[in-house]
Amino acid sequence: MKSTLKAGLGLRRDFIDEVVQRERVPVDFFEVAPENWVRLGGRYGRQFRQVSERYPIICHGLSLDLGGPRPLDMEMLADFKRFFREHGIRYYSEHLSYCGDEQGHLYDLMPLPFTEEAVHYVAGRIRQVQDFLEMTIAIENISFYALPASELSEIEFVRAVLEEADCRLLLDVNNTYVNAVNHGMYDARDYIAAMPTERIAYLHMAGHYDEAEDLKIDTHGQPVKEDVWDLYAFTLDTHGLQPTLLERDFNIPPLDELLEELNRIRDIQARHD
Amino acid sequence: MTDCDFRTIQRQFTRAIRAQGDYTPPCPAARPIEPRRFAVYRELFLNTVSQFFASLYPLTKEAVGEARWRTLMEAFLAHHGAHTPYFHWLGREFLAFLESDAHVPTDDPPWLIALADWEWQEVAVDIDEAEVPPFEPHQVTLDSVLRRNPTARLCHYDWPVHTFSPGATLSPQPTTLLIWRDGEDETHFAALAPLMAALVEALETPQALRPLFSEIEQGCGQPAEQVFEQARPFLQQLYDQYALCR
Repeated sequence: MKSTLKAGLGLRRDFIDEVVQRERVPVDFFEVAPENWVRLGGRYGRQFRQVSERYPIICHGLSLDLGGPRPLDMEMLADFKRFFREHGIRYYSEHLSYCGDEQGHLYDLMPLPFTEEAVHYVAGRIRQVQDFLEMTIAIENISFYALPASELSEIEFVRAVLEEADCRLLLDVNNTYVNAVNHGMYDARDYIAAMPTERIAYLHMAGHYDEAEDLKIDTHGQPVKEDVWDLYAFTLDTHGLQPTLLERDFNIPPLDELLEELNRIRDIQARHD
Repeated sequence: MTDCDFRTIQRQFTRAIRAQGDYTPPCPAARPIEPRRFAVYRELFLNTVSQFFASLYPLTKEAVGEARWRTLMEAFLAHHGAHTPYFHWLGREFLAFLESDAHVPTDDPPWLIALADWEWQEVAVDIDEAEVPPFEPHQVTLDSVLRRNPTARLCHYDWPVHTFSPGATLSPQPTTLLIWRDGEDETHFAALAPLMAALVEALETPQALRPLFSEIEQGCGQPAEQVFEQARPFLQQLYDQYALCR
């Protein structure tokens, strides 16, 4: 991503009024789920246009279903292509995951079985998307609470997909932490260090919920935890300065509170500039 | 047991979520999943749809109550094939489910689908991609050429769903609701009497009012001017509120 895009915030309906009204919100970019804004008319559609005219927007999708059994939704991708062009959007990421089955959409993310076969399947679909959109996309390491198959380790799986699809990585620091705790199969720092620097597009930071000592839930409903801040600093130590997005999807606090949290990202980034 | 591919494992996983049941590995290549971990998914997916639809269908949820709402959500997850990728269109999927064979009405009120339809149409108007034209003041006369606001929808129901209040029962009554979005992006509705419903129906494309009222004159025997005078205040009101435009 461009070097001017350092710290960004997930744009939500909850505070779009304020973003539109304020002269300037101190963010370098906003990230949106296109599935919330594409082909949307009315008040929010109009406000989104106002935001995209004033701030760089990047897209982080939810419904592409890269690992799912149904054919890719080309109609949706055609909508996205138009939307990206209309709003000058140059970056699109998705999840290394699946969110549906033969019956249809399930509207949340499920963990892929980590097998060779799954690598080939997902990588082929990513290539198909990249060819159609005529852009390189990034895929995110998701958080998961169950490991349905582990012919490959998670690290091997992610690296193999990146290589075979020739795509970028959206490295979610909180997910790495959550997965390391939940599965006890690796140290979060080893995982981060094993990711190929040259493929990293940007980072995600978010809060999680402690369901149990060995079960953390990636809710995006709390501020970022201290351990994850430490891991973030480690990530920049390892991979250098990276654009970073703060996600908050539930229990959304006043905008200024989120901007405070974003400042902490900037402070850590400043030490790595 | 012979080994299976990753698709078989995925299918087992989604089936257990849809059935709100337990997950058992389909083959040796699949790892067992601790029940409390699978429970996270089972609950997450039910909560996701339940929260979405509760926010889009608050009256429908109110009408059936918590327990029935939950069984409807379980049936949705188990039987409905949802295909819209967009979250702002997701409400369509619940309505499609209610109208399908997957929805077994049991003790649901007979007007439940009509109520849900009305709730969805309000949301659909709110996010409709059509643009509302700028407002121009205008005195509605028989010589006016009018059309419906491009976001407006005319909805016909067998029940007066707009009179629903928690705990009340509805009696059947043919009902036409006009729903539209104004220039300030606010969504409104109005209940239309049969004559007005027929008029507004005809205004899908720009129409001169005089021929429309002449047709009414032939139908009811009353002079067009007289019928128009009775209808004029309401037409003017619909115009002033953006439901009709030129």
